[in-house]
Amino acid sequence: MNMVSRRGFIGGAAAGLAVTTLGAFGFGGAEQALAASVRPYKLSRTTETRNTCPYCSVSCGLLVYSLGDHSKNAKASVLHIEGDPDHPINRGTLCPKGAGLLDFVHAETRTKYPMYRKPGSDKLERVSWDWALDRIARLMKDDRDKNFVEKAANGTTVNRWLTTGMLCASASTNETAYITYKWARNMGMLALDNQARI
Amino acid sequence: MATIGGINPSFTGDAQRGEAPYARTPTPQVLFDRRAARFRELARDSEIGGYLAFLAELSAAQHRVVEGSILPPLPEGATRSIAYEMPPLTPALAEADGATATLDRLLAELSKAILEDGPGHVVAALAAMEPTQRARMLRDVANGVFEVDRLAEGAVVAAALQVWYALHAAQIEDGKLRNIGETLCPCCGGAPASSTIVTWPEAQGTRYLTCSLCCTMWNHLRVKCTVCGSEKGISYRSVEGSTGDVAAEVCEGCGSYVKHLVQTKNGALEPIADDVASYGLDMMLSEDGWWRGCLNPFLILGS
Repeated sequence: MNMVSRRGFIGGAAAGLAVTTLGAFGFGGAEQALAASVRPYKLSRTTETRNTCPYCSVSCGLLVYSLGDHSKNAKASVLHIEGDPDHPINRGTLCPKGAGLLDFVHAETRTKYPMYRKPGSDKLERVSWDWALDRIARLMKDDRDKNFVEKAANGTTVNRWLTTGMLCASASTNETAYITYKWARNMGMLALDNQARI
Repeated sequence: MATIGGINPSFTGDAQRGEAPYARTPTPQVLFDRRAARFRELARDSEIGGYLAFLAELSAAQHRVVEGSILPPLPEGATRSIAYEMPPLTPALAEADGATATLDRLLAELSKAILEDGPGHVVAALAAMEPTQRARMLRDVANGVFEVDRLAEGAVVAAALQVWYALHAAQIEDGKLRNIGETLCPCCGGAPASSTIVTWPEAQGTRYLTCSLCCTMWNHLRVKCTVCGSEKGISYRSVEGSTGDVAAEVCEGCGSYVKHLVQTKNGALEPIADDVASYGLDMMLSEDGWWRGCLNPFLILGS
């Protein structure tokens, strides 16, 4: 006896034999009409991707909806962003800043590359990551060499670099935050803050 | 109630709306009536309107059987199963006298209804069947197994079992049901029929699967395959130009799909009725090689 269960046929049904509940009730004709009526239509593909809101340390869970099949001739685009209802922190909710994330993604003025404004210039220009990181390292090194404090007024050895500070990103994991702290404090940097407090 | 990270529940509005339940058992007194109404509505504008109109009659008959039922006592061992985090309802329930009686009453209700020839013959054939054969069908269908040559009879038997199981499930407290394997019903171990994004105030926007047998709904993480459990390679398909309220969640890992009904886009969607009514989407998906990974006794597609 041919049996069918959740995962299609079990047992030897003839290949290509289409058996449906509708057909069994005698609605095979309607089935064919339906098949003809859907023929002109196409399927569209969307995805829902989990992400974390970039704004503050609450790190609300997000669902990012995009359209497109990521193939060469179809450009994937972000359609909608909402709070992730399964996320234990925000349970689907978002604050007004998070709720506006779609405009943030599509903003023409969004910073996508390292930008540099020369001293005295009034406009930003695009630079490479290598150039930007070298430049940052150079300026940090010069400033630290010039202003590093090795001894306190009473002669105690200290590790103090008070002329440079750092503002860190908010959506960091514990591990990222730990390493960031170690890195900055190692160099003696004391002015260390986080975007999450803003 | 639990708070997370010390957040005051009144801050997020959770104090009023309560916790999202892991599972929600059915209310048979309204379930089948609402389903019948939805089938009727869907039948009005559909190529398969005749079939949907019949399913409206079938759901209405289910409702009348519920109305004439007293709540059956829970089977012995149900409490113990709950204590051991097993589903309290088992396929053995389909072998109880009450299951046979429920099927008989459903057939009696259907024989009073005005049916088209096709469904009419099926009802008559079932009524004329040997009692032992009907008992075997009840047992098979409760195990999620349908005979290829008797898909229509199987659907009517499944309808009777839905009533019988839902009457039991309704007596089980939601809070007692535990996750027994995400793709199985925590109440009866049945297979899911479809996936729904619900609008319940306490669970707005989360996803629940609906049991094809006892009609319990249980939570399943969103963007996660309901067949193999993969969270990678999940995407959604809907008819181009539609609002996407009825979509299919497809899994590139196992090649399956399950209908995904987004009630936040259309509050009228019903887990069983809209799965059948969107049969056209199944046709388009099967052409692309996806296989149906859920079990709806009213829409079994063999190939």
